[in-house]
Amino acid sequence: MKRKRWVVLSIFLCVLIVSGISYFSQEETTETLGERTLTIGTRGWDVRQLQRRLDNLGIYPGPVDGIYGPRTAAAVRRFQRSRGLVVDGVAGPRTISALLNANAARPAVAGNWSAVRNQDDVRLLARIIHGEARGEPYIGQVAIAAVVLNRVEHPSFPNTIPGVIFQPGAFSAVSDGQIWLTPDASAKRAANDALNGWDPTGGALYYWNPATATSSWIWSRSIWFKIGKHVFGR
Amino acid sequence: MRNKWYYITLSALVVALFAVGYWGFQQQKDKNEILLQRENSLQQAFYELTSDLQQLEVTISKAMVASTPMQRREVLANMWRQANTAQQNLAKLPLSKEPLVNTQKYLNQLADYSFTLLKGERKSDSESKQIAGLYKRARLLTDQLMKFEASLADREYPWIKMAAKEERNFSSATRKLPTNTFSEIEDQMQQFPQLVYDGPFADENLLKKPRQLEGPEITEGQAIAVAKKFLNLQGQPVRYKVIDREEQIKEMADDLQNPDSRERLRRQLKNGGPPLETYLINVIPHNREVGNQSYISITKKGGRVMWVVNTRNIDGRYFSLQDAQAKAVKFMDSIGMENFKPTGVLRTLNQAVVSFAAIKDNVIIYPDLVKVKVALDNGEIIGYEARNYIFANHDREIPETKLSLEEAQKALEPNFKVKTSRKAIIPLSTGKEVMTYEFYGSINGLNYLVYVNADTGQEEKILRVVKNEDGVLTI
Repeated sequence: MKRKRWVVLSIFLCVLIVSGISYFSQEETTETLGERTLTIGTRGWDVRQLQRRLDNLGIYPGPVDGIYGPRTAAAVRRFQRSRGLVVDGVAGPRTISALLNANAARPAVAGNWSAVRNQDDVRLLARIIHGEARGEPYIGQVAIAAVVLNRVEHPSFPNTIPGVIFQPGAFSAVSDGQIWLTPDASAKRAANDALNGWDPTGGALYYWNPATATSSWIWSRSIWFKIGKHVFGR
Repeated sequence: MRNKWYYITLSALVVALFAVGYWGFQQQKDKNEILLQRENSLQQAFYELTSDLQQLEVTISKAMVASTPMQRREVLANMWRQANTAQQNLAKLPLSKEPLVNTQKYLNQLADYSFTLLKGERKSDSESKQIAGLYKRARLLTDQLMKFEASLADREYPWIKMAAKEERNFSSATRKLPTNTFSEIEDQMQQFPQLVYDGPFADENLLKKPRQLEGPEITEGQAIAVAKKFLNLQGQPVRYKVIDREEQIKEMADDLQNPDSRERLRRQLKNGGPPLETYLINVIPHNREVGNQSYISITKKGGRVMWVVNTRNIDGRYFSLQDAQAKAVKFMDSIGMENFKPTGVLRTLNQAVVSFAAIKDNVIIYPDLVKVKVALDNGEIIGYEARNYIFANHDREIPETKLSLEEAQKALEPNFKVKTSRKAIIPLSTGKEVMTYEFYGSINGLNYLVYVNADTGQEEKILRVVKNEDGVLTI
């Protein structure tokens, strides 16, 4: 019994030592990005920088580990294609300088008078769009969010985005729980467009589906546009 | 033998029955607990609403008598706060199938009006008369609410029943609930004269119209020509579909199954159209997939482009914000808007939105706001938004300023370190415009834009400037 335990322990120690040696022997070089051409198999600090920059551009899904593997090469190829460079998956001087430029300085500061972009607001708007207007044309989705924002700006409704969305009976997607479905990319983009000021409804406060509307009151509104299944008005 | 099986089956059935019964009992218990919690939170909102309104009635009555500045400010601040919380609580309650737009508006305007008055030093002439009118409405609202409260007194779970009625249109069991009290209040609220003041919620500021939109009415053909030129599509294989808003709604009515709805939808068209008539044109490329379409909205009067939306997917981000800004500037030049300067750029998802403001005589005119959207995968312009510009733009005389830059700078907090400054016309929340000096600077490591009125030396607006990797936000 005792002997067996010793065997197990010594095997474990051996494995630990071997793996430790192989880990530390992979010494990383310390070149900075642009000093050499990078290709599959290259390792080093500059590869890390390359990966981080590709990651910033949203085109590198892999880990930032300093190892130039096939995923790094694929991201480099995508970048080269977008910039009209030779698509070879090798980060040479041209590719690297284009990449350094893509991540260059920020634009100048000035008041741009846009609304505050609160990430919670974006998320909630995307949810209401997805719950109310999945499968509707894209401008119909922007229009739903625009109606929410127009209500926030109007004294007849609550003054916050959650206030408007959760007002009892205001949106059927809230009453039946469809607001809690996970919003798709289109809904997220439409929410951002509406927050950035795009309003296909020209200031509408209501929308409804004439095929299913039950409230008699809604028919007294003025009706402005039809987009997809909905009509928009005030 | 048969007896044995009989007893086994019977006892199994009895056990099953008890199990199902117990399960059903638990389900019922859970459901009741959830309903009770819902009832409780609605009751809380209702009791807070009645208490808010009672306090508000007293506060408005005090506002009628308060005369010296300190007391007047205190009363107005209370009025602002109480009207605001009353409005929030009212919006939580399922009081009617229709939104209580008039009651909500009364409370919101009351708060907004109090806030507007708070900015003035002395009592204005119209103030006493208008506050007396507001008081009458507050009395009416509290009286009705007290009656309503009394009618709820010995009902079990009135609020969840009302919620069910309003959300699912329950009929028989809940018909006797007194929710029509609120339809009455709604009608009464509408009969009072409009509150006249200068705030963002004032009636005259609600339905915005273009200040100065000139030019003749254009035809559909001319609108298509505008779209073609604007989107630079000469000779491109695309199709233009003009979407006529009335035609679309009539077609929709024709397709409705229910003859009543059909009639009502047709009749509804006579209730009036949008404040600004536009052509909506759908631009459909011949050789690309359906998702890759654009919509462009053009004013009938003057043929100005209001907005453009391209619906294609954008995957990947290969362009920097700086590249995007350069693309947007080039685009603005190409459509003949060279007198606009970029004022900021912001990235959301894989797109960048570049804001522009007009420049005249070295003064930046923020009300003339235009936004250009750039796809970060190929640098293409995929959106344009000029509603603010079209509504605010007019022939402006850049006024002489009473104060010099140095004089205006004296208004600033002494520790505020100014980095840059310039003249700027800014929009106020009421839609009015004011000539200011813009100071960009920092204090305690935070950055700000401070706008000082160029005539009175008062600070008109303060914006926090936050820089992050997605661009520059002004809050």
